[in-house]
Amino acid sequence: MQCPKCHANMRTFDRMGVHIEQCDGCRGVFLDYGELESITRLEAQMQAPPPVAAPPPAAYPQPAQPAWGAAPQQVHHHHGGHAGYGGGYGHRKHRGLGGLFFSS
Amino acid sequence: MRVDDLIRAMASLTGSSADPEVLGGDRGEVVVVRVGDVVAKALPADTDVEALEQRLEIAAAHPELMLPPLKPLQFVDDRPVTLWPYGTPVSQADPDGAPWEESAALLAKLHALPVRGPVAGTPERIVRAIEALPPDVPHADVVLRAYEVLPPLDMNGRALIHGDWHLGQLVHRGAWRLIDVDDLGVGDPVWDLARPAALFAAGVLPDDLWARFLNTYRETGGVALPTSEWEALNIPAQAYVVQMAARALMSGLQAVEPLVEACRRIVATHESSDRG
Repeated sequence: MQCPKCHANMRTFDRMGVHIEQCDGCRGVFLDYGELESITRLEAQMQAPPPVAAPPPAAYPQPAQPAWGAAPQQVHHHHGGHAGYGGGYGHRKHRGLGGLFFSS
Repeated sequence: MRVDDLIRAMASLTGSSADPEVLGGDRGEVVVVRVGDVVAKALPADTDVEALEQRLEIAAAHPELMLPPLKPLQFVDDRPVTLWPYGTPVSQADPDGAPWEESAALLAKLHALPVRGPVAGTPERIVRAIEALPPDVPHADVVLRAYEVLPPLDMNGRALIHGDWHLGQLVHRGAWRLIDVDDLGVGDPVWDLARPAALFAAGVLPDDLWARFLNTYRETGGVALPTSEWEALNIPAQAYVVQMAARALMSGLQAVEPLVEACRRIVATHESSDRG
């Protein structure tokens, strides 16, 4: 067949059961109906399963807030190196209030 | 009696010749003095002496949980004075390194002791602190409104509780031990967990520290909490938010917004449930 874009000749390749037409001129690729899905499927089979995410250092799950509680605390890793809240303490946003842990 | 004379008399009760050092800031009617390896605490003249003596007995009977008193109750004029061995307090500089797990385990074991003693000081002491807030202080309207929408606080006792637990109520002397028996007694154990719960809900206590405390309490067999902890903690934690906000406004604490904001959310929660 001829390339629909540059009208050069296209050649058929058969890769792992999928027919692919490639243009000798512009190197463009033409897929028949369903071939894109076939390729996607094959790709998924060939790829190794993704590594399991490392568990967080804290063994405890995120504790629940009550309905009236503060919004969940966010850890902004991309701010980690900045001044102010840096050093991995981005979620310790009210450090100045730590005295409340110690007074009646 | 002048405070200087009181301090001198307290120091002489300790039997130590070291120079007395006053501990803590302004505590109103309460004066705490360290003399060498001994700490003396003078309480207000109107203290319930019989209840205090029972509290000292309980502490003496459980040195594995509480710092035991050095002597029976003493007096300087009409003021009761308790005497204790000195212990190292928790460092305020490093909340992450604080003994959250040890605290939770001590409280869980305390709550499992036979129920005896006077009525615990909480929630009565919370109510007193809130009602002392002058209504003309900035933000007092929000805080007092949050107090108004709270349902009546549960006074029913079912365990021996500390009654005023926070990280300042722990010292290290060989091991971590609970101190300050002034509110010790029979009450709902949920009150001993409600202050950190309140700070967590206000966004002040980081969630990992709350998780360490909460989970250790459960793992040590603590009786205060059902599976879903907020079923029990909800109202007591709200009461502590309001109390801490009131105290913060009165003492002029900077950065009081998280507590005032939490009071706003408490008002909104109760007003929406009243409508619904």
